[in-house]
Amino acid sequence: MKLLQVEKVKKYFVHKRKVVRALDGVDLFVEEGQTSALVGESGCGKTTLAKVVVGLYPPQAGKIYLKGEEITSKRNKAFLRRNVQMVFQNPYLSLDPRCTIFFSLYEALSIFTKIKKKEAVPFLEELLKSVELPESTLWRYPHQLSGGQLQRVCIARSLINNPSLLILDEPTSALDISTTVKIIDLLLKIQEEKSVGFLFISHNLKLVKHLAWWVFVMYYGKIVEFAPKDLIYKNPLHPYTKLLLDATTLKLKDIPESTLPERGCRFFSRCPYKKDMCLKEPTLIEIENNHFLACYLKRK
Amino acid sequence: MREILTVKNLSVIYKVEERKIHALKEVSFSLREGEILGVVGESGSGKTTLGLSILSLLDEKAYASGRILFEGRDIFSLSEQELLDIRGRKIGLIFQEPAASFNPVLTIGYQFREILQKKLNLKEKNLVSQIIYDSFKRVKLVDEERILRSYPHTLSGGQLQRIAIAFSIALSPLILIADEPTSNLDITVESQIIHLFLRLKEELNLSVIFITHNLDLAKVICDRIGVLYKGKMREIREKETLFREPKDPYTKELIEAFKKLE
Ligand SMILES: Nc1ncnc2c1ncn2[C@@H]1O[C@H](COP(=O)(O)OP(=O)(O)OP(=O)(O)O)[C@@H](O)[C@H]1O
Ligand SMILES: Nc1ncnc2c1ncn2[C@@H]1O[C@H](COP(=O)(O)OP(=O)(O)OP(=O)(O)O)[C@@H](O)[C@H]1O
Ligand SMILES: [Mg+2]
Ligand SMILES: [Mg+2]
Repeated sequence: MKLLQVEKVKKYFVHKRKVVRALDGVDLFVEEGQTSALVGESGCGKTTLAKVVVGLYPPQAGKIYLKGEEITSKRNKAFLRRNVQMVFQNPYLSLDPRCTIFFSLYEALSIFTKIKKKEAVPFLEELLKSVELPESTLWRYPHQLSGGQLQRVCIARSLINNPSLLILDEPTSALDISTTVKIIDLLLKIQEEKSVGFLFISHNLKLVKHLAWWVFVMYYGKIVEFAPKDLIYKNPLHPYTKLLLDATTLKLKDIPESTLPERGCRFFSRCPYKKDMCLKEPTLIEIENNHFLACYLKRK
Repeated sequence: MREILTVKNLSVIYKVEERKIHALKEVSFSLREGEILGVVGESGSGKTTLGLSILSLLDEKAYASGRILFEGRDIFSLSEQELLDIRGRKIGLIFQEPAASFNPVLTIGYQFREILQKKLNLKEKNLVSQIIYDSFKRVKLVDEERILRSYPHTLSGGQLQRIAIAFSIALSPLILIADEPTSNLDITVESQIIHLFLRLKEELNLSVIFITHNLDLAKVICDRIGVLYKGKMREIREKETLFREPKDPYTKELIEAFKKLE
């Protein structure tokens, strides 16, 4: 059984007359104690998917299972809260600006544990040290911390209640390399000790390579390719995945604008290999063992 | 090359309760006209503090000393009105915290029009729309009709980051301070933004202070790079020589750590 199973989830946002198909039938999973990485272009729907999983947005269609229990329904709210934690992309908006870091962490701690404030202090100090922050950080307010320091406070908070699924939305985007490496090592250690599953959203493909088991590539609200990490990095098949992996900051100058076509393959406007048949959208199928692809290129 | 901004012995101390945090210690450097100057350093080294100081936007509980010379005057000696004239119009700032650039209860379009009106005194509707449309195109935002009618919280991290860039370049400042401007962008979009900065530098002779923790990026975009470590500017040099023969032990460490991940 998978820890998290997302099936054909849809989430549309309606803007006056325009509909944004943020999630357009997404399939994805996380295995217990492992990491699934979700990568894709800015605005393709990664954060929306994370928010749907933690119950912040109800999906319009599709099902989500955690340890086999359906969590889209209301009655499993408590179960969801107990098991899933999320580190949000924007650390500035995830902590209450009026409270000290101590208070925010203590609040999270006291949801499931009865503990006095005084007794919580040493525990929380240790926790902050584990994310490379000095103990004195406890007594600061969010605006008194740097971007990367706040991000680490959020990571620390997400670890407090021993979740079985941790969703990390660009958790190290504000961190320098050496701090990132330390934080990732910490996460991996916790994963191993407590068998936590991670849904790791990132645009840093080096990091993804370092820690993922499965990699899911999303494009405009749909998964276009997924496979175990090695297959994705050694044998990327979707033209979008190739674009992502080939990209270095210097080379890419004028890639075609990304626009979502009315119908057919989402990548049509940018695809160098497009054919007439691509006007009908390809579905995800298993191209080789464990390697799933939504593209006609490799089909017989 | 002419020096467009000079920072002299800048120190910043934050007071938190009884404690003092020395965020910057005697930092001195100059920004040359038409150059992209990188500022790199680990989390908490003082990069954002440096950017905020230049526009005199520090916290009330921050004590700054030293001088920041721009157009022959010290930024710290200017009145609030004089600062308002400089902020945005002459020196633009792209905040690290995307939320700091936006008002959560107004649509993006409203905020954009307001900035253009206030800072450039633009009233003519067609011209305003033209500038907005043009800036969005430059930061590769598609779907601009929808985005203009949207509130900030309904946009993705990378969309907001690009809108913040669009806001600031629309005012064609002389200097742009960009604090981790691409931290939420995937590489395809990021590289297009990098090319945008390079083009603005070529075409408009824009001077940029580019704050980043990403050495790869600094290597591509910057002319010179300054290394901040615990509030001190350890060295500041042409990027080629910095990468080839780092002098400072901390710079060496930084470059080594970066190579390791390769
Ligand atoms: N609450 C909302 N209301 C309306 N539209 C929304 C809302 N949230 C997200 N969207 C839209 O849905 C699309 C997907 O957004 P999402 O935040 O999931 O992207 P993302 O993949 O996380 O991007 P990024 O990498 O830039 O963070 C975007 O076009 C965004 O504007
Ligand atoms: N308003 C404030 N009050 C008190 N301390 C502050 C304040 N702002 C920043 N600091 C502290 O000053 C130091 C420098 O912070 P700054 O935000 O300049 O770092 P940074 O280099 O931008 O880091 P990051 O890469 O994490 O964004 C940090 O130790 C931070 O905790
Ligand atoms: Mg996002
Ligand atoms: Mg900063």
